[in-house]
Amino acid sequence: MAHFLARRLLLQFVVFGGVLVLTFLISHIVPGDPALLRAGPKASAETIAKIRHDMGLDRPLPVQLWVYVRELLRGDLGTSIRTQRPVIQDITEHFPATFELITTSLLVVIVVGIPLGVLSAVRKDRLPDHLSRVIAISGVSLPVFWLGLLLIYVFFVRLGWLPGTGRLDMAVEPPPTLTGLYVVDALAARDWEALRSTVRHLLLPVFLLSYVSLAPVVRMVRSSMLEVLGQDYIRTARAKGLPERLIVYRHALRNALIPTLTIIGLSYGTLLQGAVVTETIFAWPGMAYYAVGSMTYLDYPAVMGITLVSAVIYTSVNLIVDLLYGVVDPRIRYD
Amino acid sequence: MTEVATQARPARSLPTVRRSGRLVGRWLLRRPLTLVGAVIVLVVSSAGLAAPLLAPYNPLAIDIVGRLQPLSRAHPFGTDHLGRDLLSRIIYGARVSLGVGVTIAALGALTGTVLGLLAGYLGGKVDETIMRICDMFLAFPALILAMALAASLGPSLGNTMLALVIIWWPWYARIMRGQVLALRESEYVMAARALGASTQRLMFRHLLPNAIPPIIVQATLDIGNAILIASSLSFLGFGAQPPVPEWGAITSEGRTFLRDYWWYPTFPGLAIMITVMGFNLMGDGLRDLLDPRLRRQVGR
Repeated sequence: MAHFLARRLLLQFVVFGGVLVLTFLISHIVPGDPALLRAGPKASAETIAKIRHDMGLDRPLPVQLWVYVRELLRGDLGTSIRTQRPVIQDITEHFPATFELITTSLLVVIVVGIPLGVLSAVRKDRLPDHLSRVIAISGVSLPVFWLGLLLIYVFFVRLGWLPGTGRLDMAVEPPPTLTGLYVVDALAARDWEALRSTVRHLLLPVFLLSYVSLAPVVRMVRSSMLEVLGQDYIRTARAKGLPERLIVYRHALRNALIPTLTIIGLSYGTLLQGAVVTETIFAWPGMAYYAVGSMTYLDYPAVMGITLVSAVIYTSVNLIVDLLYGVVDPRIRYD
Repeated sequence: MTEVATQARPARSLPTVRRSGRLVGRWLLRRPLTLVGAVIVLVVSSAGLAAPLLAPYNPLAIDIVGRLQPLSRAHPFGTDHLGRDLLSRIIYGARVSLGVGVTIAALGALTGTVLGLLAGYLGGKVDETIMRICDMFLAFPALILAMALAASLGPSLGNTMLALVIIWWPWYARIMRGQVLALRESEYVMAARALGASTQRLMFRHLLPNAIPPIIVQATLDIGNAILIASSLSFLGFGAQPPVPEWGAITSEGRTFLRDYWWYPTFPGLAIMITVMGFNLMGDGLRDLLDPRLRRQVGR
């Protein structure tokens, strides 16, 4: 196991290197000229050339990559063209908002999705099954941006029940920064007003994000449960007279969890992706919101920084999923 | 003898075909949701193919005087901010979205299946290499990578499709590999191996057919997913550009008019939802049909 972990971590760095090169290539096939953008429309050719030189854009690509990696190892992701601030600072500021949104949504997905999938399989082709399938399928079929617009229209514009944009009401001071996660910070500071405001702001985006991400988990739990429930050892367990609840949760669910784990791991990516649109619609000041702005502006240091950070997050999730395989399925060995 | 055989074959196979056709028909009737999905897919595909015949107006014809008209007999879905007929734009949009969805899912599934099978069965270096490449692509939230690619290459529908195929195949590879890993240890594969089956035979005759149902289901569902992502990209401004009648782009154009002209962003979004739901319902049903282990239980 330790050997596997060490090798897997080493490979993590290999992937990371690949991601770095890939991102670098993508951000440098830009047809637009970042120097031109920074210089503005009225700049002379000399000014542009000077800026291009200052930014290192006149050097060969491999040299630019080398410079980038060297700076990266010092923890420097470069300076954003758009905000004129260190990219690392921009990301650090925007990250907690996204993390809070995605993690809350993932928890909702797991807590609601697994029981719904089990219920669907156990009551196959009966009312609970049909209902849970309709919920799941409608969720995965909805365009996030469209449902987001409708939610804002109904709950903010028409009914005025919930806030439409942002993380806090204008009048509410953010809680003192501890983690950057407003819920946690507000709890820590016992700032109930901020807590109430931030929870109200979380409701619509989290509902949107978890609703559209629920289906793959429900579907996977349902189909793998159906498969497992049809197997001989389940019949044996039934024949032994074990209670149905024990059979479902101890015998069947554990074996149905392997494919489900893959899907939950992949869900993290789906959620990050859903966050791009969700944050745009709700003006949620997270990383994805920042990313859309940076990409529209062709702000390549920012784009690279965001991509690298999301790569670290995502590969770590993959690693955890791989390790969990062995925990839930002893048949899979890591030697 | 040969003559008898060639004569006998059509006589034998025709009823078989009819019988399996009837079986599928009966199976569909027992599963109304799958039937609904299939009908939706059929209707939307026909609408897309027959768009020039069905659409009452030219989807690009501007009529400033008739802008933002509410629903009427002349314009069942109203008109947009340039007076274009929304129904016509949505019908033409079916053509755009379906083309995008089918292309992305087909190319992604093909690549991913082959690579996932190789990785899962051969293991070792092949597995490591393929999976690390997978991780590399999966390390990016798909939409962010697609956005980066589309923004760099220049926003267009073609570049969006290219970007989505590039980022789509690893999903299939991972699912396939997971299936193969679990199946590889199963008794029937060990038995086949003990009987001396070649690697090729094991992979394509024993593992592939048993591992493929989730891929087929995923591909059907992914036509819907691809339509969703492509429309999201268009909504964000990185995909189809005006005046292309793409559903996401139309929703994006209508976004600012939602408060007073609700029909404008509502109908294109509804079109996306219904179409994607059609593919999802169909995909869900397909899984049960294609999985022999589940088919056995259908009669239960």
